[in-house]
Parts: sequence; C-alpha cells; structure tokens
Amino acid sequence: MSEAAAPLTTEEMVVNLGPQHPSTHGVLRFVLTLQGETIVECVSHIGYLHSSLEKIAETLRYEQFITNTDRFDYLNGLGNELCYVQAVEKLAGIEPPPRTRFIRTLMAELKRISSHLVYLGTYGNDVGAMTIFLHAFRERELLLDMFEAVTGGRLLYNYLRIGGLRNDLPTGFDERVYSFLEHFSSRLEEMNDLLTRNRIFVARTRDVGVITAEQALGTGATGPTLRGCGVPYDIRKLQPYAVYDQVEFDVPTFPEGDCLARHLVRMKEMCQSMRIIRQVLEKMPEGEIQADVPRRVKPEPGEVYERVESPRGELGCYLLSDGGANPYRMHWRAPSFYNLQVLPEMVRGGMVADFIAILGSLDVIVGDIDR
Amino acid sequence: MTDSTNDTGPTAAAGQNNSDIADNLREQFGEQIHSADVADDTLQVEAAAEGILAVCRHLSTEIDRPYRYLSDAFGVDYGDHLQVVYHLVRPETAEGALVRTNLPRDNATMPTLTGLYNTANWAEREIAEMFGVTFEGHPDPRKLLLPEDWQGHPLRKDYQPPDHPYLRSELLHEDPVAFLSGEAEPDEDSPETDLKE
Repeated sequence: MSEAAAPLTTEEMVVNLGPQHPSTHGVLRFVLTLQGETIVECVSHIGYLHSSLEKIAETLRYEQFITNTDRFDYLNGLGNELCYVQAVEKLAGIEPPPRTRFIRTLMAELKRISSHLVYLGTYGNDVGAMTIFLHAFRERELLLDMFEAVTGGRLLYNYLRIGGLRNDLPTGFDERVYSFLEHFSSRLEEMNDLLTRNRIFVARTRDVGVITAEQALGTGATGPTLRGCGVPYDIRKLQPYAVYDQVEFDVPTFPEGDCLARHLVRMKEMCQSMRIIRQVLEKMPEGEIQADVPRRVKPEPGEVYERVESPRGELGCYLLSDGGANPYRMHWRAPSFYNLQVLPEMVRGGMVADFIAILGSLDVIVGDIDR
Repeated sequence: MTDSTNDTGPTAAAGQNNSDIADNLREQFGEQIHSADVADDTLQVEAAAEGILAVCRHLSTEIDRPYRYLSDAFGVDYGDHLQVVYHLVRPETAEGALVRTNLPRDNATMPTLTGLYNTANWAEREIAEMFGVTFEGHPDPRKLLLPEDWQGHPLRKDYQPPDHPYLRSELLHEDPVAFLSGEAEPDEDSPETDLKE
C-alpha cells in the first residue's frame, strides 16, 4: 500500500530532433527536454546553412547583389528583391517609374500566394493530411509557369533592377493572371473544404501552440504569427511601399494565437492577395519600366533601413554606404529568424506530438534563418 | 528636469511627436545622449553604452504609444569603432526608431537589452559572434550561427578567414585548362593524383 501511495517519479529525457528530421523543413536541430510526453524545454540550434551573405554583400556592387537576395527566403525571391532594390533606390535617391511599381506589387503578391501554397501543402503533410500537398503544389505549378514566362526563372529570378525591371510583362500576361484568379478562387475554396474545414485538422491545430500578443511582440514574431494573435501589424498597410497605398485590402487577424489562427490568417491572406492583384491589373499604367540609373550605382554616404511585408513577416534591409560602388554594410532582418525565436514559448508545456504541428505553423525557411 | 515636466507626468511631457521625444531625451538623459533628432521621419538616437538601457526603457514604457517592440538589432564595423544599432518599433503604426551606441574595437562591452525585449536574445548573440561585442548580463551567451570553436569575428572589416584549402583564393592548378586536357603534370597535393593512378 505504501508503494502505491508513493508518487510516480519520471526522469527527464533529452531528445534530439534534427538536423535531418524529415519534418524540420531544412537543416534545423532542436534539443527537447521531455517529462513523459510533455515538453519542458526546447533549445534551437541553427546555423547549419549559414553562408554569411551579409559579408558577401560587402564584396559585390549594389546591382550585383540582387541575385543573392533570392537565396535568403527562397520561397519569396521577388519579395526579397523588392526589399533590397527599394533600399538601394532610397539610398541613391532613384524614383522608379509608376508602371514598374505596379508590376513589382503584382509579382510580390503572386509570390505571396505561391509561398502560402507551399506552406499549405507542407503543413498538411506535417499534421498528417497528405492529400492537400498535391492539390496545393498543382496550383503553385501554374504560378511558377507564370513566373517563368515573365522572368525566365521558376524559383530564383534576378528580375528586379535598381530603378526598374529587367523586362516588361509578356504580351497577354494580364489575361493569363485573370484566368488564373478565376480558376484559383474555386480551387482555394476546395482546399479550404479539404483542410481548413476538416474536423481532424481543426482538432489537431486548435488550442495548440498558443501564444499571447505580448509574447509574440516581445520575442519579435511578425507576419501571420503575430496577426494570428490579433495584432493587425502589416507593413503593407501601416507603412505602404510600392503601390499598396493605391489598392484596397484588409489585414486578416484572428485573436486565438494558436496554430489554427495562423493557418486561417494565411488562407485569408491569399484571398486578399487576389483582391490586390485584380486592382493592380486594373490600374496598371502603360509606360517606361526603367528609370535613368548610372551603370554603376554609387550612392552618397548615408544609411537606410527599408522594410517590406514578406509572406513570413517583416522583412528589413539595412544599407550603409561610404560613397563606393559596394555597400559598406548590408544587414538583413529575416522574419523566419525572429519567428523561430518564439518557438520555445509555444511548445513549452505542450505535448511532444504537437511539436511538428507548431513548427510547421510558423512556416520558417531555413535559408532565411541562417542567411 | 523642470517642475512642469513633473506635474504633467512623463507620458504627457514626452508627447507623441518624434521631435518632442528627441528633445525630451536630451533633457532627461543629458550627457548619456550624444545625439537625438528626427531624420527621414525616423527617430534617431545615439546614446552612450552605459545609458542605452535606460534610454530604451524610457522609449518602450514612458512615452505615448511607446516603442514597445524591438524588431531588429545589428552591428556595424566603422573601422575605428564598432556600432550596435537597435530598431525599435511602435506596433500600432509600425514607425521605426534607430537607437545606436558606439563601442571601442578593443573593449566592446555594453549591457544587454534582453531584460527589456526578448527579441534581443538571438540578435545580440549574433552580434556578439560576428563583431566580438560582449553583452553584459546576457542570459545565454553562446555562439548562435557559427560553430562553437570558431575563431575571430567574421563581420569585422579586418577579419581573416582561417587557412583552409577551399578558402584559398589562388587556383588549385596553375593552368586549369592544361590540367584538364591532361597536358600538365598533375599536382602532387591535388586529389586527382590518386584517381589517375
């Protein structure tokens, strides 16, 4: 009887997850301390893909580095280029022509949809809904074909130029986008039926990995992670760039702060992106696509901190010029880097079986974390 | 500090306007503030290393619509000194403020902001390994992106990478074309030597 009354003691167990676990979306390692099946502590080990692109930027001319920005967050190549190019333009006092700014917005929003589709497919895989993966990637294929038609590349583009673009949109591209939007709105509804309204998926993600808005803000999380806590923080809305001040769109937020809220934010964002794309196509003016820019851009000594909203959150680029043709210092504020920092607060006290569901809901890109 | 400031309390005295905030910072922190002004609609503050924690605490708690969100932190090597820059943000409007401090290259030490913003944890670890800045009171001062035994601070301007065959800038073979066509004698050190035998 005394034996039965004695408290059941369990030892803490340390479990290593990664660096090559199939669900960790790249080379990423976590050390979990478990008490039974409950996570007591989670320590992230990053840096396996560190390539010091910030140092490489110091050795390249301003226009040469555009191609490298594609490699940070490789699902948002055009958005990264937009951030970098806008920073250089601000630093050098270059004003891109209106048509260029419309095309850049169009491409950034198409890229946002394609990035969220990758999230949708892989997140379904993470939580055990395998079907959605092929549905999402089938639609993404159409987008990649469109990127290929415009830029020649399917993943890495090197399309934006300082003060302009490499080339104008191909003939008939508007109709292609319109027919994609028409096709995609019904497909999106189908994907919502398949995953978002799926009872098993909802049970798997609701009240899992909950954080408060204060925790998210305090740890630097942005994008769908922060908007999934009810904070309407979107650089496109609050500090508009490109032509976001000329289009109407909403910033979807959900107050719950769990995996489901983050998922719903992304699903609604795809609808808003379609809304933006329609308006951009309607309002797009004809005209030049390239401003007069010297062959070698040499900005006056000075600095600039430029921000855009990437599919993963606030993307920042700091440039410091000493008057030369190379940046003196380039710093990249990667949204995935700070979003991953909030992970321990989400998983602490939760079940180890939920860990992958929570990690997947952050939608981190390891190339962006390690830079 | 004047009497009127005490009467109205810090919130009203600081106001919402960035230039008011800059004036108030200069007044309240005196010599700790090297410069505070508004450039390009952004509040720019340069503070002494000892005072940066108090300045950030003021900006994050004691003003209207405080800069209570730290979005980013990074270092810059100016050659004669290092600089650490914090990018504070008002979450309601996404307005940014750059708060910076200059540090000597040989003894770069400053207090950590992790007590104020959790965000600073990883950001400061990255600055520490890349620039050799010591953050006093940091809860987790390990390397972040680099291997634990890495020597030197790669983002400093005078950094020399360790000697390694793959990092040497000279060519592995004097004349690669001749080597590939088999005209040149193979280099004894090259891995191809073994393959040919």
